Amino acid sequence: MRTTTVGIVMATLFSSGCGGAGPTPENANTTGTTGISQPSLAGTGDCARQDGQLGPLPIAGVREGSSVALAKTAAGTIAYVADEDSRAIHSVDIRNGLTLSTTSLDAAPAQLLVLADGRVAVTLRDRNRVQIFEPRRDASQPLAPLCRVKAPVEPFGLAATPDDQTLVVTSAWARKVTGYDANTMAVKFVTDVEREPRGLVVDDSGERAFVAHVVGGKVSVIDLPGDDHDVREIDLRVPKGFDGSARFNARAGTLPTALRQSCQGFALAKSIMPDQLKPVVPPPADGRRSTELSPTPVPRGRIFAPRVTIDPGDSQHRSSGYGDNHSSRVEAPIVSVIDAAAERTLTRAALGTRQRGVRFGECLLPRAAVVSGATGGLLVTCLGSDVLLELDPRSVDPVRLERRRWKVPSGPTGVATDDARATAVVWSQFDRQLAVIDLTAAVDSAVDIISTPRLPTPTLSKHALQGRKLFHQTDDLRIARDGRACASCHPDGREDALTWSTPVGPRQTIMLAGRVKGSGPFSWLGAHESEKEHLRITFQRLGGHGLPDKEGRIDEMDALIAYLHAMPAPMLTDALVDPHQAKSIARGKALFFSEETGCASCHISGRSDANTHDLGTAAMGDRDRKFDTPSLQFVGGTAPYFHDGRYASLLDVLTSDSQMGHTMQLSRKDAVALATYLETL
Amino acid sequence: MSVRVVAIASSLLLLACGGAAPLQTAPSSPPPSPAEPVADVAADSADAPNDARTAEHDGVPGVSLVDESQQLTSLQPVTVDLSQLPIAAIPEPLATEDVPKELPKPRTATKVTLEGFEHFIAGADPHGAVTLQLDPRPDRRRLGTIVDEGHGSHQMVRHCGRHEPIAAIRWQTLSVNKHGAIEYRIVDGWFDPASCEVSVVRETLVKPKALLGSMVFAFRGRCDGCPSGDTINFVTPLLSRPAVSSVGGTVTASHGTISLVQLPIRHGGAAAFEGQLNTSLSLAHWLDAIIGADGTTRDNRDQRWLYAAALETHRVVIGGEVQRGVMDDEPLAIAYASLTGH
Repeated sequence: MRTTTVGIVMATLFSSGCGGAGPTPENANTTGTTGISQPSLAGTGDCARQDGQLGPLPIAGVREGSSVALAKTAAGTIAYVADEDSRAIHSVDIRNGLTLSTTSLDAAPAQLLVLADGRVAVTLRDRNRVQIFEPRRDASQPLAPLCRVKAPVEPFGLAATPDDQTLVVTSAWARKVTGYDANTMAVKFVTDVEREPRGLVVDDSGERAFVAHVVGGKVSVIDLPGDDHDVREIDLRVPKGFDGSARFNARAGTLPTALRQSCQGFALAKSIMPDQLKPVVPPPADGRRSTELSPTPVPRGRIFAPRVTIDPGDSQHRSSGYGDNHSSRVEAPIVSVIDAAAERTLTRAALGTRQRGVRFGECLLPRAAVVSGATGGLLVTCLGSDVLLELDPRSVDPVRLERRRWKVPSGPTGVATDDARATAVVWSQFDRQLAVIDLTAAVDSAVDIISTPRLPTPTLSKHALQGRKLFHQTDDLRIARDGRACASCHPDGREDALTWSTPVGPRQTIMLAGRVKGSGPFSWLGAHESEKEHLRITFQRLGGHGLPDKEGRIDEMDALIAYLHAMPAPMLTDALVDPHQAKSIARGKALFFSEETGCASCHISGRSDANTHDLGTAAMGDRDRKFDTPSLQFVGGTAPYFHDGRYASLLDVLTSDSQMGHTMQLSRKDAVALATYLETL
Repeated sequence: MSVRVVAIASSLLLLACGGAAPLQTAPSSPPPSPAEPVADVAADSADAPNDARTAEHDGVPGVSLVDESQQLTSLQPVTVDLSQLPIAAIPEPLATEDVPKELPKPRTATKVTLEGFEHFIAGADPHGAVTLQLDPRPDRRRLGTIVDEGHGSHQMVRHCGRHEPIAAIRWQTLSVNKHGAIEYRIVDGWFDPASCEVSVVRETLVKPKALLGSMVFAFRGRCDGCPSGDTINFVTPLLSRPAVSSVGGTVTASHGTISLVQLPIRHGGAAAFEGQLNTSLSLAHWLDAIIGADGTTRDNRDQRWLYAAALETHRVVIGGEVQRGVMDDEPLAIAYASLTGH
């Protein structure tokens, strides 16, 4: 790993205007200062390209967003980086490691995508906006803002259709996918999908978008043309056991019902058409080039879905920890391979879980993926282990066939490739560094590191930044003996939507982001007065040795708690919403605070009363009968519900025959209104 | 043809206890020579590269879990060119409803006496036939088969000397012929537990293609009229902790002294298997059958030791896959061997 000296054009750091009007459109010129002929790029409207002269253009064929995106100029390649900590976009010259400019934002960017005409689309997840920029003629100047448009809560993933006319955006919290006109950013459609949609790809025909979900083990398929935008789901979960063969299931007379669950579905990648594979001819020797690559043919029409397969144990029986690790591995990485034409997974079993034992260095927190046209390899970034993996896409579970791995700085959240140069670029958010990886070089000399400007971090203190690394640290025996990280069950500080077998009974994972500070006592039983006490018990159940309170001058437990307090929560207001919901929300709010329902008597102001109650909800396997009143903050995004996850939706909770509140008598319309209101908490 | 199979009870115990194999034993066999013409080959192996020594070059240097510097390495997966695989028309096992009341006379079938088999481990395949995997050479170990029933390895014990009905039987062997060519033989017959005799009804012979430096052999199975369609068959050293997966069709796996995994080739489907080599014994059997007999050169003996050394401290995984998406013109098959963990 080599580090390149960082050069920063400081003058550019503070010169950007945030949310300002776009520059005055100029007439397009077909020839720029670099002498490269370009088509007219100027468009119309606030969001259209204003300066049609010149500027970086996208890498051919790349239409999926990430936290890093590459653009080509006559002089080389620029990486645009979405730095969510600094709330900025860095423009970095990959060739010389210089940060050309930094565009300050008033929100945390999640992903960005270079559109066909060189504009840069950015999702601002904590502002519920998609913003469009264009590069200025002077590369040392920040990007010029053109427009920003509303999106459903927490816009995250980006992809463009092959005709470059539609920009497709996922909204993680709102559970929606929105299509925008790529030129005007007018909303074309909004459609509902399952929980936590994140990364997405559009197939080569432009007819379907495939959307990854962090939880639930599914990929959504959305029809893009027309007005209907039908949504179908592909279930990627695999059976427990080690035989995914249909014969044995057929012999039993039923399809397998015992399934391993899934989490960490942040990213998707699609296979590259054979004619896109680019054999790499090494450039003139620079002292480290090794051999000419001969890219492996990638099966066409495949969608690759990195994730983790999980056996949380039988919730009806108590276990010694979180999940039953006696019969198989609780968590194991998997890459499901989808036959796009059939909309069917080809990955029927988690073969890797057959081989028991703790393995270190596995990709338990995959975050980004792309297929390299230079090598034909599937590239996947992994938090925790902080590596970029190259996997063999010919497999029905490529994670089992690892070709190479490169160590990268901490927190690799995004990856982009420049196939013509056989280069992969990884953005590591936690260290705020770029890794530029020469795919033709030997692994131990292939990585160049580029640091980005150290700007103030508005939301995370130094202590919290340290805690974030701990939170995502895999293979830390102080936390878990089987390699799991805090983020394994709490991806992005949320929850995995799973009910775990534990020593005290079934326990549904709770959301942490925005819900920890001041919300004690902790645990479903309200048994732990402090976060530290709760964390110690959690580490014990995971078989971890535990974090020391003090280690030298650093108190890692305090750092971890600082991060728990500072985790960014979704912003539920000022988003693109259905205007027809306003009336229903008002009605639901009235019901919530009414004596008729009694909701607010325990969920005071939507939070907890810090007491335990016996509502007759103890399940088989439960040791106790009284449970802590959970806060309802962000309850709309944390299904399933109750400590044992018995209810799939809020409406199920409200219409159930339980002793919790008095909602069973509500009309269907009122129950829906109350559920709609709860979604806003 | 009359084949007399002699059981060595101690070998059963050896495998069951995971004991060490006599790795230094240098099997005796004639030097390699051109492929032997086989009269009863039910395969199109005439044009296929079916000699183990000439077919092991898939871009993989030799038998190489250990490189020249004695460092363990991982074998890169190889694409298996299905058009280059020998094709064996594998018949369905003999049907249980066709069981004769008494064993056919030797003039109509080869008779095999399972001498010394007081009991042996066997398994029932999906068709109800008993299957065995035997090495017919008298100086080799032999053992009954273990058939993977999908819920972990399933074993059943068959006893000789009991008055049980005659049953269909199948065994499969991997061996080196006198010319040094690898042969995979599938034998079907009728087994009479009372006399502990087998009447061989038919034999199917194929010279499989060597992959990954002879760590894996493969051939394409064809069963005309069978609903299962074509299969890709992987023959490997005995696998432990096997796991299989399929979308469309059925994976069939049997494990004895060696393992045979049959993956269905389905348009729109996929199939895979993976298993672990975690004892030197499984490699010892393999080497006895393949490398030791194939020239028995000093280099090959050295490789045996390197194999064993690798397996004492590392876990080796062998796998094979085939997939054909609905838009794929041809199926894609791969084979791989790798070390578990990182």
